Formats: sequence, C-alpha cells, structure tokens
Amino acid sequence: MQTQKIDRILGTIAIVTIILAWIVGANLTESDVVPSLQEAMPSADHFTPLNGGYAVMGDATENALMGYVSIASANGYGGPMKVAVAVDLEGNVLGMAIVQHKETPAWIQRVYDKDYIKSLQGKSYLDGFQIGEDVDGITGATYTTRALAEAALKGSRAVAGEQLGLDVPQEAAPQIRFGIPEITLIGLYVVGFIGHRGKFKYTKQARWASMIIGMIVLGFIYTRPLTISDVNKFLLGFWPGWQENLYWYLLIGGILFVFTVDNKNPYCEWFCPFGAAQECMGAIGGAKSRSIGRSKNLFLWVQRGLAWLAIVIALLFRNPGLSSYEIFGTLFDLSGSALQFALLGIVMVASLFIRRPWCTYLCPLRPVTDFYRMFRKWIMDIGNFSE
Amino acid sequence: METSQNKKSRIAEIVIILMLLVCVALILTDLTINLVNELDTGEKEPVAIDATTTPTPAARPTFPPDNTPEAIIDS
Repeated sequence: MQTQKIDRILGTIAIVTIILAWIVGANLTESDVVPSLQEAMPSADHFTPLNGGYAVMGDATENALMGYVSIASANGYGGPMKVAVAVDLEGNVLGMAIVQHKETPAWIQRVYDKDYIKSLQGKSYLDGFQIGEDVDGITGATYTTRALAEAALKGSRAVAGEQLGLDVPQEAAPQIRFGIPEITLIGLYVVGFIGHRGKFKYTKQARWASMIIGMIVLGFIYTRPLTISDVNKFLLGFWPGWQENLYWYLLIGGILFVFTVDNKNPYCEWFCPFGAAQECMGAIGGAKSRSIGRSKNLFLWVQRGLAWLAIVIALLFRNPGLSSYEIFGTLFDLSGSALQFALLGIVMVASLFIRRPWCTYLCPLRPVTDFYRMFRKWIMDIGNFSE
Repeated sequence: METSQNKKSRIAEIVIILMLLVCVALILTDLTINLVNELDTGEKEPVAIDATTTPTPAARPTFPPDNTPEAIIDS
C-alpha cells in the first residue's frame, strides 16, 4: 500500500511536470524564417516581404526580380515541418531550406547527407512530387522526404497561383495507405487476442510466430516499431492525417484500446520487433531472467526517470523525435550515432544471457505502460469499477 | 557449493549492474549531444530584407520584359 501511495504521488508529480513542459514548449518562439531565405536562394541580393512570402531580387534594382520564396508547411514523421521554397518566374523550384522540423536527428541527418533537397530543384509546379514516381525517396527517411516533397509542391503551387497567375492543378485528395504493414499489424492484434485466451492450446507457438513476423515485417522490412516518439507525438497533438498514416492510428489506438478494456499490453510481449530480436538472441544463448538484488528498485526508477526526461525534452522543444533514445532504428535500419551502435552492441550481447534486458531495464515504453496501468487502476478504484 | 553459487550470482549481479550503468551513460550522452545540436543552430549569413514590411503599389516588383502577366497582389 505504501509503495502504491508513493507511486501515485510520484506519478502525479510526473504528470504535473509534463503538463508544465507542454505549456512552456507551446509558448517558446518559433524559428525565424529570414535566415533560411538566403539558404533557399543563395544567388539573391535581397528579399522583399510580400503577402506572407518574399520576392527574390537579383540586384538592387527593382527590375531584377528572380522569383519568389514561399513558406510551406508539411507533416514529417515528428510533426509539422516548415520549409522555405524558392521558385522562379516559371514556377520551377530553385532551392529549398528547412526552417523548422520535428524529425529524429538521425533521419534529418540522412536527408542532409544525401543532399536530398538538391533532387527537388528544377521540379515544376505542374509535377506531382510523388515519392517513387517523379521524386526519389530515401530509405529510412520516408516520412521526412515525403514532407519535403509535399512542401516543394505546396510552395511552388502557391507561387505559381498567387504570384505568377498561372493555372495550378487541383490538389489531389489524400490517398488511404493500406498495405502490408497495416494488414500485418491487424493480423498480429488478432493473433494476440486469440493467443492469450485461456483455452487456447498453442499460445507459445502463436506468440513466437507473432514475434517473428513482427520482427521481420514491422522491424526489418518496414522499420515501424512503437517508440517514445509516437507517444510524444500523441501528447503534442501532432496527429497526422489518418488517410496517409493509418498505421500510426492502428498502432496507438489498438494498444490504448486493448489496455483500457483488457488491461493487457498487446504490443510488448507479442509483436514488438526489438523485443522479438532480444528473445531470438536469448533462445541462442539460453537467456534467463536475472536478478540484480536490491538494485532492482533503483534501476526501475532510473528507467522511469529516463522516460520522463525523454517526454519532457520532447514537449519543451516541440520535437517528438529529439529525445528518442531507442536503438530500434539502429538495428533494423542500421542508422544511428556511434553511441547508439555501442548501446545496441551491449544490449544484443546481454540478450544472449539476460531475458529482454532492454525491455526490463531501459525501454522508455515500459514506464509509460506502467503509468497507464496505475492510472487505470486508480480510476477503477475511484469509480468502484470491477475488472 | 552454496557459497560458490552465491559468488556466481553476486558476480552476475555486478556485471549486469555495470552494464546497465554503461548503457545509461551512453543514453544520457546521446541525449545531451542531441540537445546541444538542437540549441546550436549555427551562424547563418545575414540576409538583406527590404525595410518596408508592407509593400506599397510603387514598390511592387515588376516582371522582366517577357510578356509574363503582372501578378495581382492584394494590398
């Protein structure tokens, strides 16, 4: 009872500080657009503000109009991305500069390293800017490149229509993305639902099948594990359009639904790709749950502290991916910093001997699910609801 | 035998704790680096912006003489 009381007090403090971080973050000033203008249009002499955008002047005389810069917004992985799009007098993209983004550092770095923005130069406002059709994407940074392409489309068409008086194609309705990741996710929920029913005889086999499929499809092929970024996005209100992000809604919504109704975590034990990878290593090395004695409680609070820190930083900086320290992308996509690769190496080796060491001691999602469970029980106790 | 088992368990405990401490240090270092990069936006070249923030009709940019229609901009 004493432990429960302490948990509830500390949980309340955590919530209050998270709410405060949200409020402070919401009131911080946004990035200034002006420094990005020259980056978008290096050959410009000066810029003239014009109806929310800027006219680009080639030299000090009025006649040397080169084009316009429009400030376009598109949704990246982590939330809204603001991009300065420089367009010439025929509606072609001359250059772009990212003014503000909410992307995971490793992904945005990949976009910069591959010089992706240059691939959008020369595109016309009449083009579709569709990844895989007239525009390339970058593996492992799909959402970010899609957002940049969308910003280029919006910026070029804004200039073409509003400044140049050209006929702009009508914006296509968003397409519903329902493919292999979405079908796999639904299938895994169904397997989990059937598999953990008391009377089902093949729970162990169903669980292993579910984990392997989750690891291969959601991990290695599509790199779509649940991360603290998703939780941060949810808390920040950066909810993307459902048509193009159905997977995200199925993942978050499905977990919340099962948790609320059944008090069970369908994801972590049944199809978390990284959990599955650890269990595969454990099957090779004979991993067992290992005790760390009296330090167990200390490391439980270290794990909770790290998760709390990740959420607070994300809310303060309004960037869901900034504080995401999971190493899922490092394993499934081979992308990350040297520190993340070192961390991955230690965790994978440890997985040979310790059952799910990341999940048990380091994963930020476990404190989030623990908190939700505690909160749910609290509400049930207050309302005298029974399970 | 029991003492030997206890010793092995104790060594395993210490190894796991050390490993966790290293992992936590790596996570905190990585977070700190991300934060520093986020705060350090770097110095960009100064950009020349016209002093007039609301363009007047006289200051409206004109197109080069190539028959491109003049943009209609609401003031």
